Amino acid sequence: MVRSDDGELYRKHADDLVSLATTLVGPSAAPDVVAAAVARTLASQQWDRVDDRYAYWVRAVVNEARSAHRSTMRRLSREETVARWGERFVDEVPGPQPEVLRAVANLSLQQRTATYLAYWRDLPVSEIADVLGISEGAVRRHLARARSKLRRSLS
Amino acid sequence: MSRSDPLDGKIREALADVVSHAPVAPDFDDITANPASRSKRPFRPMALAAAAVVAVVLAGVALAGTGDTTVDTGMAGQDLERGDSAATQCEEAALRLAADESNVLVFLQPDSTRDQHDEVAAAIQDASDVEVVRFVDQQASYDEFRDLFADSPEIVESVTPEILPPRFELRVAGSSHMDVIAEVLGTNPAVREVIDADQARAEMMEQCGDALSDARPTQTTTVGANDGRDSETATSQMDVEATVFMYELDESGGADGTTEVTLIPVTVRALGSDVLKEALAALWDPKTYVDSTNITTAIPFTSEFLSVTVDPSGRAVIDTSGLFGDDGLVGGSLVNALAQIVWTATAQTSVVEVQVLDDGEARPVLIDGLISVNRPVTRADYEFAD
Repeated sequence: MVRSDDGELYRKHADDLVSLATTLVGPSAAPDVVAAAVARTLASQQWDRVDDRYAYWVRAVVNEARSAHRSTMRRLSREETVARWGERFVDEVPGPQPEVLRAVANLSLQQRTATYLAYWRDLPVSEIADVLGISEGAVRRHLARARSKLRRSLS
Repeated sequence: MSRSDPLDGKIREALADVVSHAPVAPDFDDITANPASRSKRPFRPMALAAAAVVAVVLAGVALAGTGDTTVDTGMAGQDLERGDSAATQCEEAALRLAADESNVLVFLQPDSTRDQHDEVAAAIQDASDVEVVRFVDQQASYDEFRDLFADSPEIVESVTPEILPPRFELRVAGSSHMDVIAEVLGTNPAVREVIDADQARAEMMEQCGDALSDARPTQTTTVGANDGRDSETATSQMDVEATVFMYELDESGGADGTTEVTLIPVTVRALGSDVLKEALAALWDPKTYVDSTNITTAIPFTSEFLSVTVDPSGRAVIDTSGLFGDDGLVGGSLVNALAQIVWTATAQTSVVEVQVLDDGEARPVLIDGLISVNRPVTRADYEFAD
């Protein structure tokens, strides 16, 4: 059930959600991932009872990105995944630097999400934990592993 | 995190590079006006629930002889709704069809009473050509649904056992089984829908034909038929044969009547250029064992195989995610999973020892006897599997 202020709230966070989706699945699939995630949340019978709608949308985008990954990329090797992810950017020249593509694509979805929220949204660990509905320890673990991978790939 | 670490700046620069290429956000009015056109997975709880239940039943999720009902159930029903990813959808669904014994599914009204269920059951039992394979009540149906959509908690949250139809799964003798069941049930008001499972499967297989022919890897072909050492001759994208190690269940072997489990080589075929990589991918792929009633795995469905490299000394470095501790395995279960990985990797002639990473990080691993070691491991460390 759509609430009266859902549109306003969505427009406030839309760019952020698309940026997150772009980090997770690349720019080509990002709008569809966001649209599918938001559509599903609005149709949810739980929606009326959701307090933190932004957090709910973030989790929905991550879930949608995970589904997109599984359905289309499950069978690809990690190298192929990186290459294809990069190809989609290449189609939309100019794109991010290849080393950036490889670095980001080498992170798991949870690691990408935590990294995005920590380094792009500048959210503290406690807020990231609230948004993602996981423990602060899990957030720290995701960030530590992401940093470890990024240190190698961005050096 | 340290704000003074130069890495922080590099990460922000990298994210800025990615985010600067983010496309324009979809319009809210477009999403709400016609969500189906924006979302390939329109959210219709009842339709979705029904489709999911049919998918679960046809997919035979609950009939796995291993008792493992958690194997990769996340997408089949969703993909039936999506209409895309045909290869994945059809491949997964078809793989689970074979063992189902029922040929008629009788879905009851969600609000039907227990007395009505008994009435339907009595009519079925009175019929000479009809055998009840099983009855699935609403809670059991919900449990299947919850497993099917384990990756989409918002969907699970939107469904309750009360809106799902209970069902009888029947085996009806004869070629005119739908006529038989129609005569048995008549116009019973408690019956919501009767589905010819054989026909539904046939249609599903027909729809899947092209996708299946393109699917990879191909199915498990041989079990326990080689010595567990592969030659590595593939140099380009081609049909390769590799060996993975799975656990064979022998329900007749235990002296006390329990099931004995033995690590055995299983030959798989796949399209690829790297035998080791394809073997490890197959080791993590539920399709390697899901259609078998006597082999299973200790590797959790939630873990991932990320990459493998082999150095000149013959050390294979295998990066995984979700395998260890925390969200993964501990103790004997971890030993069993590591044994599969080590035996599978060393089945390739170039590999003599294995280092298993956790999200890129080296960490101690458990060997036989639950001993923790901080070094590469070999088959000798898992002698119980020999």
